Amino acid sequence: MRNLPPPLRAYLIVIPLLGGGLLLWLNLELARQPEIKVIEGILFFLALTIIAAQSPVQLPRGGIMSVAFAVDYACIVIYGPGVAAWVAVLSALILLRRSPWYKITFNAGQLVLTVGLAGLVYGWAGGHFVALSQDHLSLRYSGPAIILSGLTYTLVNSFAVAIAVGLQEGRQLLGTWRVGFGWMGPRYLALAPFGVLMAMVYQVPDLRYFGVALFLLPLFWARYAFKGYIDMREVHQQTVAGLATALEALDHYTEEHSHYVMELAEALARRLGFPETRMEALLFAARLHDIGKFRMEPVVNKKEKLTDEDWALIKEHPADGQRIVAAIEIQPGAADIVRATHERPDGKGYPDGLAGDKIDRAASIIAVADAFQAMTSDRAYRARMPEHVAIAELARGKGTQFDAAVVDAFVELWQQGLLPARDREPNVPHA
Amino acid sequence: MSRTLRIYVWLVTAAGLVAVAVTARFGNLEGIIRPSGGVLTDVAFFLVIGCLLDMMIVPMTSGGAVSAGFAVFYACMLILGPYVAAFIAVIATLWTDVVVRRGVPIHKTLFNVGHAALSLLVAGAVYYLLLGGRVGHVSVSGIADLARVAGSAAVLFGSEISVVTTAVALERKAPLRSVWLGNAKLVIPLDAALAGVGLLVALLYQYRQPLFGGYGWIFVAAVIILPTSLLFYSSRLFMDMYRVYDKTLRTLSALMETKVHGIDAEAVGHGERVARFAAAAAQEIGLAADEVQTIQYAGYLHDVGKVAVPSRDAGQNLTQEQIDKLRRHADIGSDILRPIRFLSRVATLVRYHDARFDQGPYSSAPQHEPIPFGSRLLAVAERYDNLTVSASMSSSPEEAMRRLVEEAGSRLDPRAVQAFVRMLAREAVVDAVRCEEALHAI
Repeated sequence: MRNLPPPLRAYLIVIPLLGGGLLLWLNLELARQPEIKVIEGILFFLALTIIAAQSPVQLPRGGIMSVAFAVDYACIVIYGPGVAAWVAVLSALILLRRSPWYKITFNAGQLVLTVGLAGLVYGWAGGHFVALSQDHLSLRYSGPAIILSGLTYTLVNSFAVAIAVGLQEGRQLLGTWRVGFGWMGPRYLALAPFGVLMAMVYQVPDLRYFGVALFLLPLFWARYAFKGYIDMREVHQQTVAGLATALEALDHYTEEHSHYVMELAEALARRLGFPETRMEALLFAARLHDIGKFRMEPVVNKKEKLTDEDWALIKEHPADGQRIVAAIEIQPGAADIVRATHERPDGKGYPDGLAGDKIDRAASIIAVADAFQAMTSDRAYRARMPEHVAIAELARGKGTQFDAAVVDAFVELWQQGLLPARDREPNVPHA
Repeated sequence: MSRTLRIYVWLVTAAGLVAVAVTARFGNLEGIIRPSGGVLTDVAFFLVIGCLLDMMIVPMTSGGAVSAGFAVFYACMLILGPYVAAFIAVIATLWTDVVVRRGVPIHKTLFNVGHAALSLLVAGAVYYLLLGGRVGHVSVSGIADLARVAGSAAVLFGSEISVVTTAVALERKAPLRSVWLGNAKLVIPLDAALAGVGLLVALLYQYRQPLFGGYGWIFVAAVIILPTSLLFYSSRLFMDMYRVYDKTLRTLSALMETKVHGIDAEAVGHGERVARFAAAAAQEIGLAADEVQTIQYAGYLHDVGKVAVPSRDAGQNLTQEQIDKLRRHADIGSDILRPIRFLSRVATLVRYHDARFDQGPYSSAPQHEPIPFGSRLLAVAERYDNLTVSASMSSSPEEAMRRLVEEAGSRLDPRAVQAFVRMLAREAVVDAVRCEEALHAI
């Protein structure tokens, strides 16, 4: 915990304290409802949660999701926030037992807040708790409460996690939340009816626990398939990155080049407040921006003067890159970024001769990062420039060759010594 | 369509149609036609959600597909009996194949109708006759109840998978075992999930009155669509990723070939062809689906090491450096692939794809290390492609096959050549009689 940034440390302490407070208060409430079989409910739902939370799915840009949401939700609707909060605490202790202590306390606290608040909203909005009601039809009239508490659950949970991820990695909080919520929101919405159905089935005396447990089958399949999807996606990105490196290895000086460009682009994008939702596409495009060069390479290496056809071929290379990245299909949007990486604000770029605002910000970022890295590395025909000379070059091209705002941000980063170090070991882009 | 496949399809279809006819004659269909006490509502309910869910079709990686409609047919079998369930399955399948998907060939539609009806009647026989189930009430309170429910689900989904897998294997001329193994990892959990959903539909429907009151069946219908959509959606994502991954490897392999050999070279497409042939041969001898997939990926990527060979101008002789690099391209390729987590087994196959069976001078394999069979298959496929495609040789498939047979035991592994020749016969690339002769010569 010592080496974490101070705001994150404070956050990791505040959340468990809030969670603990809420748990105490919910306990007082529980004591006033003797008709609830607290122990039975906790044991059953704890078992179910632990089964459902096995091998949770790691989401692409931080956070995890598991089908345990449906179980939590059922527990809230059947037993109310008190029991659900206890299930959350105990399951965090059991499932995370091998993690550092602050992870356990944070997650326990975060989960108590999530289920506790969702449960309170459910009750406040007029929802019936199944364990408290003798009426089989009670849930028919709990529709609005069910929706409101589902929203509460998703919002509290996604914000709590996004803040932690954002603080840890120094990303924008709101953007991180939007990416996380984009992944989580629709899936939770799809899982919510499972939770409600579980609560309904529980009402039938013949079914009870068996009926609830039966829901695990479809839930497990959803998790299994979704995990398969996320794994394949990761494998896919690794493969593309690895093979792209292999392709570049042909030209000794671009070796690891794209990887450095990617790191520069990420630093620049963060400085410029580039939307977190498009970050993955930007990084993927930066990683692969040179992949279209294969046709122009013989031309570039020619010793004699380049002909018009040679130039035409060179100007087509971003379009080649766009086609290849589009064929890889995995990052929608990355292909168009690659196409625009050689455009200039004054309209003299290629292949489309776009000017000013027509050029995607992501492409402008990659253009600057690419130019800087090219100038500061050795070439067959010249030695590398010192960094300050390259920076001066960038400043000279500001507004004509390069996007002015991007160059300003880059110069600032350089002045403050915040550019990524260049001789780091290359590793695959994180998903 | 091969003769076996045609006979098989017509047999299943006929059995299914006979089953439907018997149902119509002796089943309790009069209950549907002249409803008394809400049977019409029951049938309408299962028919509507059956048609809706049957439209959700999840394609499997090794061919064939699973339809979510079976969850509903199963529920219907439990509540209204096998006759009505078969009847609903027939209508829903016709609805999906004829109205929704259109363009499904008539024999496929009939086949789908036939095997659905057949599976349901068999499962129904097990549930009602063998295990003593009772029409109109599903009970899950005792061990015997659970065994009845689980047993009939296993029979229903088991017979459904077997019938479809057999058809896929016959259609693709692939061994039954490899199609089956290729799909099992996905089909078994998906079917378990569908059986679970089916049982839930049955139970919710049965208890709709106490649970939801008057218009209970509307609630049940609404409430079941969403979870099933979730199943469907996550399955689709998963299956699509496999397709996308394969496409990416093909794209990158073509890109590498272009990079190494230039734009118009005949070499472009070599990786894809080697992958296709080697994978088909691997399937031919019944290797597990994972292994087949590894061989296929290794086929796409086997020449990746050639990107390290310095480019040369056309017409010039190779420099010493280029010769060395070419000679070591398998090792270099393997080194490129090894760090990619998912491809480490592919890397091993790539390392030895160039090795001679008799451990000749170019072999990089140490004497004591056995060369993986996948690499030997790749070697045969690569040799075949070089013989048939390259401009300097361009043999006919039959000549190339004879050449492979001559080289079996020296340059190539005889077992791998055998598998390859069988594959050529099965795919009808070379006349089957010639292949038979060739096999004798090995």
